Amino acid sequence: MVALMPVGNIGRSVPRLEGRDKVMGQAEYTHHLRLPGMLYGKIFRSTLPHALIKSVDTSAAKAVEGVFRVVTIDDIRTVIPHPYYGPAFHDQPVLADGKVRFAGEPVAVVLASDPRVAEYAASLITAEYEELPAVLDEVEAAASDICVHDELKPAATFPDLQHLKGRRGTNVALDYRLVRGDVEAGFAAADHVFEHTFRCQQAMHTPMEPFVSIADVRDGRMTLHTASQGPSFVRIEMARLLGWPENRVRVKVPHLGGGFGGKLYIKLEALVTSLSLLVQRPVKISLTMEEQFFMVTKHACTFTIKSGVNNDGKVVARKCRILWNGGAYADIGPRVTQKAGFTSAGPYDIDNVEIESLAVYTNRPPAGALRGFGAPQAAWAYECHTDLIAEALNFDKIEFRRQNLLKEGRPQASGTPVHDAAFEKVMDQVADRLDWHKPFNRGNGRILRGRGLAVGIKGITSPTTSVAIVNLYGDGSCGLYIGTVDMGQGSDTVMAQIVAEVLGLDAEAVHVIHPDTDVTPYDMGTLGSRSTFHMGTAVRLAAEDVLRKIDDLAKELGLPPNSNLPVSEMLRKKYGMQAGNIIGTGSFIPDYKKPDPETGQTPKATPFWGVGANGAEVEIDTETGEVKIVKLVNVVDAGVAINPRAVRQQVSGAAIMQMGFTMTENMVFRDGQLTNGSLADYKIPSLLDMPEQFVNEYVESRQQSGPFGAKGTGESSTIALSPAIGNAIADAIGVHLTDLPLTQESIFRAIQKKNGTPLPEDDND
Amino acid sequence: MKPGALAYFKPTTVTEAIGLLVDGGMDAKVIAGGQSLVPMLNLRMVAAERLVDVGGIAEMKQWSADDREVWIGACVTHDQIQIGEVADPSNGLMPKVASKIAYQAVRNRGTIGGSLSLADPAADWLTTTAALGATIEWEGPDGKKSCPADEFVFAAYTTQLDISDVLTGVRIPRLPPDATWGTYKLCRKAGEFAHAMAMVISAGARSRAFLGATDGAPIRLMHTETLVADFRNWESGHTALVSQALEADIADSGREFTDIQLWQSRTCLLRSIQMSLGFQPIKPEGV
Repeated sequence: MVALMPVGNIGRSVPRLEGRDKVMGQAEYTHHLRLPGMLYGKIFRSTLPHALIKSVDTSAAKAVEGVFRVVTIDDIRTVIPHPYYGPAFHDQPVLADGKVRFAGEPVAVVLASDPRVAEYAASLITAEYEELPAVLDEVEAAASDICVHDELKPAATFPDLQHLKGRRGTNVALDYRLVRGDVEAGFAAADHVFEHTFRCQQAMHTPMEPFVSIADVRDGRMTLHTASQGPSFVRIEMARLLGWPENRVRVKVPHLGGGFGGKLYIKLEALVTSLSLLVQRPVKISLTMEEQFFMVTKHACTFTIKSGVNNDGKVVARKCRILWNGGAYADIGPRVTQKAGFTSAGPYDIDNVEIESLAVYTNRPPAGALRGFGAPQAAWAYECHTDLIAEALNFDKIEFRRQNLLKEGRPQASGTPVHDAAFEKVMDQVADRLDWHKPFNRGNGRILRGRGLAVGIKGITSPTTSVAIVNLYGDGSCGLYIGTVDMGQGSDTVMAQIVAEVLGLDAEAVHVIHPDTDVTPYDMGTLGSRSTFHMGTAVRLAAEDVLRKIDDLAKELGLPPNSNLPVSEMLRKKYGMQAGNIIGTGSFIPDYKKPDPETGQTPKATPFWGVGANGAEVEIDTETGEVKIVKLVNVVDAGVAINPRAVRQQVSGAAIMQMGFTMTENMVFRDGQLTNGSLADYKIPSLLDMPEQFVNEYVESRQQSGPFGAKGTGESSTIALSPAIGNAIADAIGVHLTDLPLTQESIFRAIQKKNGTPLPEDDND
Repeated sequence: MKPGALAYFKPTTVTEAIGLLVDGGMDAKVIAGGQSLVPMLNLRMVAAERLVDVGGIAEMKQWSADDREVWIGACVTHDQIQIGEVADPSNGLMPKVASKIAYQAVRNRGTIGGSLSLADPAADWLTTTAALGATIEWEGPDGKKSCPADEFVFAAYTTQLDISDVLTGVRIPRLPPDATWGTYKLCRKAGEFAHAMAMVISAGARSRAFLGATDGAPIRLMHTETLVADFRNWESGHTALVSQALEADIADSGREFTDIQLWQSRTCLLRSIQMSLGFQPIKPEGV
């Protein structure tokens, strides 16, 4: 092991390496790229949520001057015999194959060298359908005879899904179970039992850079330029679809204008690849903001949670049943179901736990990973439930949580012991910033004030691999080759800080080479708060490998120990001129043990724990339901913050995003049709929506197993934000809302109902 | 997205503008501040082969005032009204309304005439000009025309303007110095279109009261006006009286309100009346 001399890169708010390029408008994005001979594709989409396709009439589109070709699934099949893809299930056709499963599904593509021509021609395509009954709600779909897919087709890559292979007559794509102790006995012995049901809405990632991919297939090789969070996965899946070895598929990813989990796995890549293969020219498809609603979304869900609690405040049993609305194609939904499922009992030490978490197909746009991977939906239920219990039994909300929070070394519901998870610290810091223990002005009459807090837990997708290469060039300068995608989170900067710390350089002097699968090594993906921990460790190992090789070279050159001769001089000595490289590699996969399929128990469910607490102070206008978030406090456990400013930016960015999912964002469907599919109607937060007081912090902590004590933090402030606001509203008006988003109207209706003057539409329930 | 190909004209006189509109027929559109039209063109929700930009017509950017009324050219921006660059006939109502339209970037370019011409039911100026008893003026191939603001709108996005007409200005009578007003609107989120809005003006024994942000033209509340004209102070018993009057007004209007719209409109109206009586709501909207 090489002795490390800290050089001041860790804990320093190094400005973003790419900041200047972005500010100057010079950063590279896939949207800017035009290749010679490139065609643009525009998509014709289904207008029905569930139907058999009787015919597609493309004649008018073909007749438009400038149209190169119009493509349906029949054409795709001539180049890819089995055109189905997906990370968990091979259930998604490249274009609709005889059947459409959601309104908005791609049915045909027009290719033209002018995107306007393609768009116009696409508008002339018509299709005839035989309409089928559609199933939209997850609770209904779980028990419905209407099946979105005839048969389940799990991908070979997920061994734990193989038992589902060939299952028919169901919309349940995954039935995850966790059992710890005896939950029924726990309820029977408990002094009190509480049960509540909560619901979350379907929402969208809304990256400011919509999806875009370009495929360039020629001479048996392919280059994909794509806005993807997972270039390595894209290469593997494209190679599988094409039946080619990986080394004939090259995937290049420049900067991303946001991803948030949407740009993972396969999105437009399979389609542009098929099209380019078909026409032997580069093909680009870039979605409009409006089309993004039909690509991938955040799961809606229904969560019923039941707890047994003793008079002394101890939670002794908890049963969770979550139905996840996965939409028409599974995408990574089964993983969301499982990962969010196993922490759905919350950050609490409970002896008897039973969890049932079901991924359900419906006739809605597909749902996949979105910042938090289901943990925020789960926390909405368990943290509102926690306040409801505390209120019913007259417990102090903080002390009730403290009594039940998981302590260091105690087993989480999965049996995995909790280490380095600062639950109490983040909670106490939120309480402190809210002046929780000081007198609070509750308002009166029209304006009522309230405050709330909540604590969240998240397991990290595991096991996943990262590989890094550090290359010292002949002059001693450093290049870092990684597949981590910098999509605005600052990973380039943080990874440079890690290399620089090990090699005794300045982070600003490190060049980070962006993902290009011909050049950069494997990485599972930029997702789920994993990069700092996984890739950060791989980068550290690679840099340490370089140090060892420098030592070896020094010995080879007969230099005295600690000679301090610069690397460039050593290479010059060896090669007689400025030449050569010193290349270090590092790869990392954390310890993991597969959960028991019956009980979900495992000693190693996650490499680290995502930990965050949030607090809110709100003002409610009781005559209108208007809610103002006066203060929003977000505190996370980041381990050691490698770049403190980048951590705070992640904390605030994630909180703003989750605030949108809490207050306004909601994909509204009528008869299976999305009715608000544009940013004119679907409202994300803007600067005018920022809380007056917006506090974003992290606590002093250390992840022993992380690089320089760090852990991932891109999602931690999303987890418990919704219940913090929900609990604050309940504190103000005396009613807990169970359904997200928390709109003016729903708050107003709840107030009127509580006052005994329900609005006519609420009068009968 | 970006709009389809279109021809752009920037005439310097109203007559020239009308000529260009007549030539363009159904495919020509007037553009002023572009705060609604440009997004709709970009989204391809509106197609236009010809844009006639009235921003180059000097007289439409002007205003004039005497002791009876103020005339505001159609191309005067919300911001000019907000900051008091234009004479105010309304004892502060118009600057206040202007300051609450969308966000500053929109107010910098959006115009009073553009807003009235589009006639989005949630537009603030529809209700404000109606409440102030203003006259809307326009010019077309058949010459100059005008009408009272509360007769200008037929339905959502549908006004008395004909296909080649240009709204040229608004003539607003000055309120008496002792006239008071109140207004309140509810928005889903900061800077958004309102989903409920009320406005009340009281001048001596006469009152005018309107609901805006409905499904069509602003609704004049005659029963409410009669009632409010007698109010000298706000008393708690007035709530029930206003509710009754509002229900009668809505019944007279023949328009449909959902339960929540009715409640929200009532709250906006109550707050507007209270405000007009010098009773400041605890929190003004949007703050």
